[in-house]
Amino acid sequence: MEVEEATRNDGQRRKVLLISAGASHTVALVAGNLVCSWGRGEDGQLGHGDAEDRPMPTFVSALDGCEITSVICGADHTTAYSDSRLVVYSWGWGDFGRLGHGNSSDLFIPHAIKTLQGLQIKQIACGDSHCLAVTINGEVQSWGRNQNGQLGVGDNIDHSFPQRVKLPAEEEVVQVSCGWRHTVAITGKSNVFSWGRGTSGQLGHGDILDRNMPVLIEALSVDGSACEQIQTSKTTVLSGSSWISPSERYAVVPDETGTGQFSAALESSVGDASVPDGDIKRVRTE
Amino acid sequence: MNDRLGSFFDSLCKYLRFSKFEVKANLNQGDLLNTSNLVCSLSFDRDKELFATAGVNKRIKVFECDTILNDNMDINYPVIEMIGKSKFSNVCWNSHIKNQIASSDFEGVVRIWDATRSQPIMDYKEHGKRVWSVDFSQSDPTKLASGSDDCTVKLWSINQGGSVSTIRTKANVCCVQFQPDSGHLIALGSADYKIYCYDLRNIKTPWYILASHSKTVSYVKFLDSASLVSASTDNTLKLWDLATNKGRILKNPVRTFTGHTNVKNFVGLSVADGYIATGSETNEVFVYHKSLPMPVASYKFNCEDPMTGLEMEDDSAQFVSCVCWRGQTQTLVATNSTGNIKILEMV
Repeated sequence: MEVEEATRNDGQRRKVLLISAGASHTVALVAGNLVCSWGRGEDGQLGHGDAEDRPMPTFVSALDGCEITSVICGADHTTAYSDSRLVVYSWGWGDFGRLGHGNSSDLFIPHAIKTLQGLQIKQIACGDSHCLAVTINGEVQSWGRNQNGQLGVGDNIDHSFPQRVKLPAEEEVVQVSCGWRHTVAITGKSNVFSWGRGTSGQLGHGDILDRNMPVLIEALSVDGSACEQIQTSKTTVLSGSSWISPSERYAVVPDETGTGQFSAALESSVGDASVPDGDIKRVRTE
Repeated sequence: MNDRLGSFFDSLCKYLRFSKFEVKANLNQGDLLNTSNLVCSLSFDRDKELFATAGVNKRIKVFECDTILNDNMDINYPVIEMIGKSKFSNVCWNSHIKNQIASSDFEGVVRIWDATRSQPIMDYKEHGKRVWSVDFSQSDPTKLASGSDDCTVKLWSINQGGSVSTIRTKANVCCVQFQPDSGHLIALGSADYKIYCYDLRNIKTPWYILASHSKTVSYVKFLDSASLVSASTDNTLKLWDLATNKGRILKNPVRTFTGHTNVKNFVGLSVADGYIATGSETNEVFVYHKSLPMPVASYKFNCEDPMTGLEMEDDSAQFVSCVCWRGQTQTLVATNSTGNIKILEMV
């Protein structure tokens, strides 16, 4: 503790231990368990207590002395945890309960997630607007947006408090990774599960359906039926065309099944089947 | 009765006067190894001496029209080249300030360039998504508008960095155009199949809603202050009369033009002196006269392999991507999806 207070502003360059980037902000863990953030600050994701952008790395003084050992960014929010104190913090855009505090309020200063206090966390992963925490025992908790089932808890309701994710046969999870709206996990037994948005086939089950519970990826899992039959794309560096005609790619007039969102309001709606371009709830108007 | 017959006669004469196209020039873009030279936009400058092409190769190339027509070289080089950061969807010259040109790109940036120095003057970065269209007002040269996939139209002034106002709609905006005579009336084409006209002095509600297309409206162009032509991926163009209609919602266009094919792509639309040019997904250019629903003339691009210049098997994936009349003349510049640019004369 005395290290941080005495030497923070002594002009000494500190070693960067970890970095994580969100959609428009970046956070770094620096020697001495100090956290710096920079970039877009409009939603509080920088944790400096205001909504200002920071073009230069700036210490998050609210985490001084908290013994932070890891930082992870979602698209517009940030999480951090301390191995030694067993506390998980979150701050930034609060929509959909992604901060895990039981509400949708934005936070401009880090706050501890009460229900995770005391748990030994092995890893935290953040998607666009959902988060997962994996404990030392391989248990998974998730919170945040759940419209596509990305929390893996069997429903499609957003959860603003961490919920336990149950894997088949209660397998222990070793690592998770979050995409924009989906999640993938590897277990100790070498099985791979995925859940969440599936409309581009990102869950790897051979279809374009969402899943709201962890489902085994057959082709990659030890218990899966297709483990030895992974297909190949049959192209080599030297083989012919990687060309797609312009009429398929460019100058395509958008229609209602494309990038249009004209039936729903700009806020997300249940059953939203379109637009991987992100919600445009916050457009700066000046 | 005489008046109507007279005007029908005039229209028929205009329709019958031309029947085909002659190729006056053929531009092969110098960078033949570039895999995609699709030109999304063509625009003539204030004096109709220069035309700019812009598209997926992230370059705005400005050519001298007369030099190309007179010189007849194999490869024509642009007199000015401006390189951008993203693929361009549209360019529009300022109708008063000679060397100023605006561009819109796939990243959502609207940029104003000084063409003589090939330098950007101003960047407008408020749109959250691809901007399909940008248009300078012809009557107020400090004003321009842009329409985007983010469902908004933004109004800009060359004198300020932030938007002057924003019109929020419920679907992608594919095109915007100012009415020629006023700086305050603007038309936009939407992915909800309708055309909206707004009076910029009151953007809360549209001044007109034109609803007849059965697919996204990809282009709108004013023929004159009271009539406009719209293009859509429903294979039609439609002519609308705004003068005689007092109502807010118009469901009946004056005329629907068919003959070309357009179900997927932006194929271009340009109007001059009552003649309406459009591209087609059959790799052809079609021209209609405003008075009659069938084409006056058409021209088919031959399918040349962009690398060798030799005739290819008919490649059904080629389409004409952009057309632009040279002012009020019968000269038409057209480009197809391989980036081949032709200067045609309607005869």
